[in-house]
Amino acid sequence: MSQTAQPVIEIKDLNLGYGDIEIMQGLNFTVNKGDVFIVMGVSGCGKSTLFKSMIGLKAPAKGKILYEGKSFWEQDQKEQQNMMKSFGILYQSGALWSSMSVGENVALPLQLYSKLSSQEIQQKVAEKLKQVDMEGQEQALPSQLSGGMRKRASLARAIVLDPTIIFFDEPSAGLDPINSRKLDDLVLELRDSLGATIITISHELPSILTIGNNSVFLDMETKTMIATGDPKILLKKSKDPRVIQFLTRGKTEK
Amino acid sequence: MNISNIKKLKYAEFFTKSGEKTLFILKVFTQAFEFIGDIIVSLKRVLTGKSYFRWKDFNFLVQRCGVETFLLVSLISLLVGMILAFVASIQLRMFGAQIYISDIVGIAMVRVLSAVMTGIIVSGRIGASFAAELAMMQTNEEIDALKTLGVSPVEFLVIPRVLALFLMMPILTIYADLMGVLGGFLISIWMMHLNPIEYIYHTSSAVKVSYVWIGLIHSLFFGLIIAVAGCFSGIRCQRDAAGVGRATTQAVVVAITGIVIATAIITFICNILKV
Repeated sequence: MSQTAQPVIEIKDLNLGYGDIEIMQGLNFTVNKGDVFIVMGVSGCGKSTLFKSMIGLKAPAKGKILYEGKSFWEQDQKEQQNMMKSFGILYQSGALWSSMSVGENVALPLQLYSKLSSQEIQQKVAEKLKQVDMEGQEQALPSQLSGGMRKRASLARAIVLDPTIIFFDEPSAGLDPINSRKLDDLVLELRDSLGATIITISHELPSILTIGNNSVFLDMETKTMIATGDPKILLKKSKDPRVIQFLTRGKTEK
Repeated sequence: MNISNIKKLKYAEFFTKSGEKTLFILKVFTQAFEFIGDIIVSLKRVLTGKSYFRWKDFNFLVQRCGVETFLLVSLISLLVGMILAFVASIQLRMFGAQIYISDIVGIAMVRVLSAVMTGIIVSGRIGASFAAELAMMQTNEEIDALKTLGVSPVEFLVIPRVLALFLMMPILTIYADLMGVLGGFLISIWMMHLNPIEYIYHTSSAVKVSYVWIGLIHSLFFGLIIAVAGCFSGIRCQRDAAGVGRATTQAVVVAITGIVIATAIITFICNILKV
């Protein structure tokens, strides 16, 4: 939670686009340590582009993304890679490397960035798989897993280096309500056990209102953010019809 | 709007579209050269042990290149050898010189045809599968996951594929040489009733070692062309189902065109060098 209000990520005057096409402009918000920060907005509003810029896949057109005061896109490639080691990323599709088993997927970050022996790596992999309720699935191939299992395996990979910031791209997409709820619980558990800051793109209202304690709402028409704050408070107090419509699934209009 | 204005607009549209197409082609070429540069840099890093190389993936790819093309290479090379023998016999029979079928089949297969036929088979079978795999990985964000882990997709995915084909193409070509010569031999013995010993003797005296090397040089270039075309098409694929299809088609078309152009260049150089 953000009682200490220690900024981990600061977005300053950020503009996003593809070539000459402008997607978003003038984004300004702060994510504090321990936040479960939700990026909300209708489909096509630029959430994924913002996500890509934040995880280091797409340079912004203008502005800064600061991680603990350090501007990510102003660093050289080596420093960017160093900074990215503190990120854990769960992609929408899971993005498990299909030619590798679940165990190999989870082990790869450790093989690259730790000095652990292969036995220690195996132990750590087993521990992380247990944490996401995937005990004993080391030998399974991604193609043999269900959607929910793939996401959990991918989450194990995302947290294997004990990251301080974990990004989720629509974690509940394609999951049934039970698995979706389980994943929400897991997100909160990870926040508490790792002391990590969570940034998640989400459309799922129950999930947004259950786990989120801070958020930004992106608007497609004005191409900028129109609200920020705790989604539960936004639901009660926001006067913007676009925010209310989104948070009530279009049922109520203020 | 009068007719002359409409014509002017059509011309303007034509030039705009031509300009856009030219710029697009230039962009693709620039990207392709950047990609090749990236491969060279990555290859150096892999060979000097500065990057992570998964031997397991490499071994699997080498096996796949062999196993998936073995039967097709056998069949096509055997048939090409047979066809060459048939076609050659039409003219040579008129002069009673059928024994020179062995020379024609041997030289043609070993110098160029085995490598070209193997290249075409491998580009359809392996090059296309490289493109489809990488395109699917792009679509499924697997390549993004590598990048955000600080792993170069070229080092991790492209280099093992390029090395596997670079290793396997010469082996497949040598095998195709043997199958092609066998095809010519079978036709000559069964249908032209030539003496088998004489046929083998003629083949071995007509086919020089330098021809084998020329065939191998062809195959090495083809291996590189097929792997680079497949991986480049796959990695720059657009993230939709149609994108995967386009990447696969593009990989095969570029590889086959590249093979034909490379053959023409090598043949021209060999002609100048008189080998």
